[in-house]
Amino acid sequence: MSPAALEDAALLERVGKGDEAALEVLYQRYGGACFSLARRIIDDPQLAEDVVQQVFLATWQGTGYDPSRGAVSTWLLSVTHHKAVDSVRREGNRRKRLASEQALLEVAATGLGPADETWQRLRADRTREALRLLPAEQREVLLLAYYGGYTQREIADMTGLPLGTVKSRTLAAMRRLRENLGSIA
Amino acid sequence: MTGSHERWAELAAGHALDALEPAEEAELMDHLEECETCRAALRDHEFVAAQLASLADEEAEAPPPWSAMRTGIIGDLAERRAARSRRPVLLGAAAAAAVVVAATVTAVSLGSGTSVRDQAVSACRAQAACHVVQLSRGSQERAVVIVHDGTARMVPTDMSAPTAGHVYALWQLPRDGKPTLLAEPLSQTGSAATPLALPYDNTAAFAISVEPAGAQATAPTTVVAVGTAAT
Ligand SMILES: [Zn+2]
Repeated sequence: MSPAALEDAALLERVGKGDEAALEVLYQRYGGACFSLARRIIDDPQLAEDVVQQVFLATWQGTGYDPSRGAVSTWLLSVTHHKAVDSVRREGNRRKRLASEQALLEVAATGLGPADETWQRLRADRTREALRLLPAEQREVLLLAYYGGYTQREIADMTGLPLGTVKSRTLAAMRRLRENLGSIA
Repeated sequence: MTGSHERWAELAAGHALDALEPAEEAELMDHLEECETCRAALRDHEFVAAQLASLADEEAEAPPPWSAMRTGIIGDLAERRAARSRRPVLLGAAAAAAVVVAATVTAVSLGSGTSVRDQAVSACRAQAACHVVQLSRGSQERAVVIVHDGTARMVPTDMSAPTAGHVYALWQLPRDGKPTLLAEPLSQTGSAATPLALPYDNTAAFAISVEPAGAQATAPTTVVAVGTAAT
């Protein structure tokens, strides 16, 4: 684990003991990333806010984090994604219109947060590069699932691809991305 | 990995993207219980998914400030804990509920079934530049704040008397920064019109907290109701 990840794990342990200040630090660190992710999937800012609130409420209530499963940040983002997707699949909650994949690849290069987020920027740059190295058809199924919030069955319906193809392409894309990203954990 | 295992590998990837159907999800969960290979693969997929999240930052839209989030997270749980410890241990749940109900002041009824709350709300709605902010606990409205002419007034919908030695306090939460105390001490019957600490347009929310009596609060201790200011 990187020093930052160890620090996060220590913070989370303090949160487990009811330390509110530790939760606030985690929120200052990752609340923005969680909110951006929720906003990328959900059209309504208020619903995105609700999602982030649920994520940190779950954190405060000490539900679900397993240190053997990886970094706290990874966990927070995966809970956020899960709840955001849940929200758009619920009746009446609107999905954000999915940007074209090209736009998605470009945003990371231009959309920079505050100046001190150099690590975040580096991470986005590397992810964008890694995505660019994927074959277009792999990128498509990946982005439809992750940012579109569609199930693989829905993606099969939308694209006219057999479900098995959607599944195998997704797996290939995830493996390839993992290789391309290397060891930036 | 065997050919048949490739199917589990596909499910693990789909799961990391939250893209499986419920039945597949359940099947995978069972398999993960007994397969370390797939658990390890899933950790990798979740890491990749978290990297994808980094591309979401394009909107430069500020996340809600902690002060606004806090009430829904800490306030919520702190209040539930407080409610648990207040409950008389030897009483059954029904009896305990009766105690709470007895202490509850539901907005006083005026004449033909119009409560003070309803009257205040309809009077406000009839005026220009008057805002009604509903303060709730969960889905339950506890009070409304009537904002008019640079003042805020708390009108109870359904509030019990504060526990002994405690009072209510009304807070204004700015879009960015710390909550500001508007009125304290308050009882369950509400407040008079009090000057706002900052313009309504810069308000994220109003909140009611429970505070120890006798000392002026500097930050909300236990938030019991909160309502977002509409823009
Ligand atoms: Zn397996």
